[in-house]
Amino acid sequence: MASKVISDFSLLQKNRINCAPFKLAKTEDATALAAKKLGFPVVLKIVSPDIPHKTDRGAVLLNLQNEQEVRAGYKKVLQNAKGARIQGVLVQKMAAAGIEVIIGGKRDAQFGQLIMFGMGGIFVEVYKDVSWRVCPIDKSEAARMIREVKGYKVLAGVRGKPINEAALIDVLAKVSQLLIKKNPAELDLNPVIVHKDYCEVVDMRMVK
Amino acid sequence: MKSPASNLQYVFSPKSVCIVGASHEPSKIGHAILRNFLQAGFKGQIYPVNPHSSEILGMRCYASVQDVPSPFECAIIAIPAEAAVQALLECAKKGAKAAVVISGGFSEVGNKKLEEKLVQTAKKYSIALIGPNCMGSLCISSQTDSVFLPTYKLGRPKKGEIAFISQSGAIGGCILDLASRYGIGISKFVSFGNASVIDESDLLQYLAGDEETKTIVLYLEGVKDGKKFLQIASEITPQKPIIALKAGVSASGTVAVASHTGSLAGSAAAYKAAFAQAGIIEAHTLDDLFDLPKIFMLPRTNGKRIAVLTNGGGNGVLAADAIEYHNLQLASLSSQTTSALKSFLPTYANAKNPLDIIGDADAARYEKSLQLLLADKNVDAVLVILLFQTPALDSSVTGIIAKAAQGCAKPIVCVSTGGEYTEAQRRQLDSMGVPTYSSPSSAIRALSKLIEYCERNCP
Repeated sequence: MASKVISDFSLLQKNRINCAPFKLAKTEDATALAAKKLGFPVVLKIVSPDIPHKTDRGAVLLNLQNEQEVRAGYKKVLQNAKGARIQGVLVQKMAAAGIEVIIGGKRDAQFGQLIMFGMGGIFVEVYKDVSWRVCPIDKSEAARMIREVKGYKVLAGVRGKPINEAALIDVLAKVSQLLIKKNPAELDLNPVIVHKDYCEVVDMRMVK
Repeated sequence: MKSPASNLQYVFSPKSVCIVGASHEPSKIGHAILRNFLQAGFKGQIYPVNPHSSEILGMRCYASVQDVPSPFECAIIAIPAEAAVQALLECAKKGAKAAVVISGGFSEVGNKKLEEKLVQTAKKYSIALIGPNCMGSLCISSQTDSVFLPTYKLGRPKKGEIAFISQSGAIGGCILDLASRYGIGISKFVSFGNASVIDESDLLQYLAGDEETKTIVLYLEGVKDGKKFLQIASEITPQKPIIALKAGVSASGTVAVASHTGSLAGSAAAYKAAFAQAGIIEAHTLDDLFDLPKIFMLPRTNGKRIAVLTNGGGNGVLAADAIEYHNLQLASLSSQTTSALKSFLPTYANAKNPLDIIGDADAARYEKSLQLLLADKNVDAVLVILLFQTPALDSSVTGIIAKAAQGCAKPIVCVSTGGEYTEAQRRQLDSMGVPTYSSPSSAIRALSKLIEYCERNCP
């Protein structure tokens, strides 16, 4: 059986996990309207069960500055996703730059749901700098997870100002609850962008 | 109805045992087990069973389990798998509360149905069943020894406070042999094989309540029930440290585990996560299984200021490197200590930490220096490096260190690096309860694990 990939931000919203503001649109006009309401710049993402890796298919467009760009972008992502089942276009407010981290989940045959935390970008890809726990975790365990990764110094503030660790801890604890509730094969929140006073999930995918 | 696990005491200290498959042939497992029980000095009744013998090693031998004249508490079963299932039922009817099933040929070779029969009998009669496909168990205090390896080939450790639990018999055997060679005392040992009835979590729980056991060491290939393991281990670690080696963390290792014990391994990340959460100290190598447990014989401290005492400068430098690497600190000696040291050290020695008391140091100079370091309020633990190769240092220093360690609230760890002579001194120190290592880095690494444990559990 093919695994089912879901990219559903409302699932995060329902579980009070902060994500970059978004709206789901099904037409070009609705997309343009959503972008105006969210405020520019925005990101467009195809929502399709057939496209798990959106960037590879050109199904994501970043940093669209005005209505004109959004309308052109709508046509382009649809064109790039030709042949796939399309559920709509996700319009998302372009997230401000911050420190990128990833939060993941995985179902284990022996221990049930596992939760993962790591620094984003090169840290996770090259150095595999991540920490794991068995769900559920409380806030103190979440704090230990964050401090366990080598890249923690970046979060604690080597040069820049330290980030809001409490907000990140809160997200981890909530993701742990979500994992237990939904029991997915895999969950990827990547990236989650951490700022001085908040953090938000920018992209997500869940494998049922 | 009682659970099988509630009868675990009959595995470790039975008053009577029945050895099914006892043999007069020295090359047979059933012979070694009977001989081991006799050599260990087991005080209870022993009933050997073998249809082809009437007497083995001077013991009356019975043709079948039914022929055994009295009830017995523990059965050791070392006959082929098919017959083992029937034998267990007969033992159950004789009142056995525990069984160690050495026999292989069950789920590990795909024979799941046969194993299920064994499990059903054990559960029906509340028998604490170890195995099948295991190497036996050992309890030093009760002189119970069902480990099927002959004592002339595999030494038995002396009595101590460390319990070893091993899923693999082969690794378990190596552990016992090495513990015996290094003079490390153990309380109990068990190789639990397929864990069909009694699993690693049941054993952990039993050992948690065992007064003889202060530290638990675990060799795992997979757990039977991840959540149960995590919960039980989390409850134990604040009272008793658990040191665990999880084998099969690489891709090829995982495949090897699946074919070895037939257990669903779970991912390496999951074990790492569970160990971290439960406060289990993770071992990475077989050496760790000795290096790490013996440090827990020491008094608890969460102080990180380490004093280093050495008769060789190079080793002091290596120790300083290791201290920093493991996030510990080189203690700054108090001015009182420094001036007291200066009063008797040769002028060519520096009275600072690492304290190099020079290659001409004898046992007396070690004794005076060690006492001063232990008395210093700026020092939380002392690493004593002994280069036994020097002409001035003799073996009497081992007794001096052991005496200083007695009743001392601060941990003392030793390093003795070198060949045969040095190794003999190392074993001597280990057997006197002073954990001794072959390099400054391994000693400091172990000490850092003790301190980490105390930071988590002894605030």
